[in-house]
Amino acid sequence: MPTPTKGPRLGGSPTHERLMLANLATSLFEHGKITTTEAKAKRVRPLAEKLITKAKRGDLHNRRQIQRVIRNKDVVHRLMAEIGPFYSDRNGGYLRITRTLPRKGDNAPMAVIELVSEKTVTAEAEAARKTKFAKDQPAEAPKSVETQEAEAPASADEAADSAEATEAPFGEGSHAPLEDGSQPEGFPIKGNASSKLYHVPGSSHYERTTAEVWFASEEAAEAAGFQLPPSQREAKDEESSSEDES
Amino acid sequence: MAVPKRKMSRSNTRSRRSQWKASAVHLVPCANRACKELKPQHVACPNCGQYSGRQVVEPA
Repeated sequence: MPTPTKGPRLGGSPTHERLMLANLATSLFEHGKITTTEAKAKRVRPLAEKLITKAKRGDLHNRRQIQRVIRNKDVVHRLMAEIGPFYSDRNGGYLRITRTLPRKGDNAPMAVIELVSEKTVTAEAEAARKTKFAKDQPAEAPKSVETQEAEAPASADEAADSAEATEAPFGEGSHAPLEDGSQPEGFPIKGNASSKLYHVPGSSHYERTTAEVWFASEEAAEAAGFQLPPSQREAKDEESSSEDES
Repeated sequence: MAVPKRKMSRSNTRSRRSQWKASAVHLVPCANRACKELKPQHVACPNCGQYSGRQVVEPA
């Protein structure tokens, strides 16, 4: 059961209140924006939003439900044909009340109540991406990932002629990860495909790295565009320079 | 019907009325950086007509 409205009716009697609210809602849908007292704006908002919800459903029964409140057929048509479809991607909150300065004369707090003309952020983002978000369409997201995965080895296939290419996604001396995560025979170096870093056995990050690709040697890794982690680069340079001196 | 026993003195009347005070309206600068006019809080600016970056009313 809806909570009864506190305080006296607008206008004095229940019928008077119904008429005032119906007239306010009619004017609101006719003009899109009306200035009224804050009390009336707050009372007309739930009524008008329920009418928009009915307009969104858009069948004959809901049209008749709207016509019980709004007597002007032009406004009913505008509500069903323009306003309802416009809010198809917005779940409630169709109206906005902004307070303005009190009225001259009786100092009544005034407000502007208007139809929200902006699209929701989610709706705009979806329009820009031309896709639905994963939470809205759970079936589609895993599929696209699968297709991407299917495409990546396929393109690698085309790049290299040999049958071994599926096993070597980064050229000669590399090996795709095994399903159980263990090290392929003769490929001890782990590579992280997203950060483009490789880790030699015994280095600080080797144990915690999940290998996305394995390399046979450091040269093969560097040939594929992979680097040592920044913390280990200097040490290696010093080693190589000392080797040069000796 | 209850009726006052004595006429209320001007002194008493004025003492009572001395408590009738108006308080200053709380004003804040408009959030619109081009405007910055003082206005009541939570109200569309009467000078530029904006509220939270949105044109709500025509400026007076």
